[in-house]
Amino acid sequence: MSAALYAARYGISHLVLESWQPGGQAALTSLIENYPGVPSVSGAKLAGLMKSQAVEAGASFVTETALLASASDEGFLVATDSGSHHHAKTLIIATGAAPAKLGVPGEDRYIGRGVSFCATCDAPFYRDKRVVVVGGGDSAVKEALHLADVARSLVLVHRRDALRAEPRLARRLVENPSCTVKWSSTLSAVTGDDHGVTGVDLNTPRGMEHLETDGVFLYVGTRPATEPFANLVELDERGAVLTRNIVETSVPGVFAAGDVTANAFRQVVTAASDGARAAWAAFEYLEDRRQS
Amino acid sequence: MPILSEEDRKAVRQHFSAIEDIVPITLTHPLEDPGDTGAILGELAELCDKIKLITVHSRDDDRPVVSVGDHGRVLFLGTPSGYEFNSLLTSIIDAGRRVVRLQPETETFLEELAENLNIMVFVTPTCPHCPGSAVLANRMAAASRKVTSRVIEAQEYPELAREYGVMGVPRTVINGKFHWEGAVGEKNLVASLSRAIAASPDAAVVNLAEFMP
Repeated sequence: MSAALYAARYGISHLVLESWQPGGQAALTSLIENYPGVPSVSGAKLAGLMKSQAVEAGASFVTETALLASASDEGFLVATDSGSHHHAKTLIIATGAAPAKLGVPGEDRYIGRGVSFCATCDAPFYRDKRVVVVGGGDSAVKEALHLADVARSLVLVHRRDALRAEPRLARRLVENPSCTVKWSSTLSAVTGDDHGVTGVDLNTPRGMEHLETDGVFLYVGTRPATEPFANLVELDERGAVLTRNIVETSVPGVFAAGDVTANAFRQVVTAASDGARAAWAAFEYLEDRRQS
Repeated sequence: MPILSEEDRKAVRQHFSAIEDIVPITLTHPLEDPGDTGAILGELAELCDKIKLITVHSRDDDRPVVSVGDHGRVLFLGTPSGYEFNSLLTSIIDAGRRVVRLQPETETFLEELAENLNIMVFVTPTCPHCPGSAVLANRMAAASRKVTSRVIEAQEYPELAREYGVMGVPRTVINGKFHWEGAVGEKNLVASLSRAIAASPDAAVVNLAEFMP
């Protein structure tokens, strides 16, 4: 979104290919409290504000999903799910990331029937129910706090003995009377019946433990959405785009921003910053080519 | 006081400029006052002279139902608010355009359909993944007389959500039997549905993911 805003303001002729919702992962965040200048806002609201600002500045959005990007004589070619082929002299990859799975027995079987990756989507189904959240980062803790408002009880399962989340968030969770943390524990299986999830098996420091629950929310990292670009730019072992100077990919003229990159520390503010840098780098790249 | 801000109206008007043909929208509502859904549809109709809004009072149910197009095959059950407002807008624009926005494989699949497909997509207004599934179902229904699509707001229709075991959204249920969890990719849905129909499994409930190519 910030790449779109800056591209528009730099007067670059551009097109933003957007899948369904503005804001990607950020839009799934119930509450964002660390974006400078905005004390407290839902991810969806912040994403909406960013999009409005970009559109106001002249950004052009189309609702199309990139399927394949390749190099062409004129620069780059992007094929999309609407059957269109878009030509461009430069590309900015800002496709973000999707939630990662744990890969444990029962996980796939119960997706949508007790296993969820989106608390903002599915919290209404867990009113007065028992919920387990797996993870220890900002997303896990934020969404656990969101779920704790509706659920009867909440257990956070974390593999380490301290939360990685911002200390302020971590404290709020630990002090919340309806939340319990299972420290140094991992989830080894999701169990259930024909209707959905009934429990989870945990590996704890005291051995195996079975916990009854109605739902399991997983916040155990992300998978970068790089499939359309896998044959274009260099990726790391996780599938994230490798960059130099934050936004330059292995291919001149292709830039990357936000959670799709291999850069550490993935926040809304860092993604916004990457987007601005990527648009500026694209602008400089086009200027250099024009002058040469 | 209008629901849409001046900024929203400007953006919607721009999207609606793609509409070429008349789009009939029917709101079925139980009360004299058609509520938020009626208000929002009224505001949308003001932004494009090709949208023809018809309001029908029915006491069968106390929840709004919105039908987009004149065929009755694209329905929104419950208020299309939050992210579902995007689904509603896209489905209105699709209905008014002469170009079908489906992939060639999907069009072939629909042309060769031997049986009718009743698609239900369960959604919540706070689900950013849901519009993709909702719009795909609506496009399939608009393109084929053999397909109906119902986009169901799960919290307003708890009895349907319970009946179809909805614990997460989007959940796509086809003919009450085949289901798909999460955001749906058009190619994957069509390929696995096509395989599943051909295999004609006996089970009462079939996860389409098992038929992924």
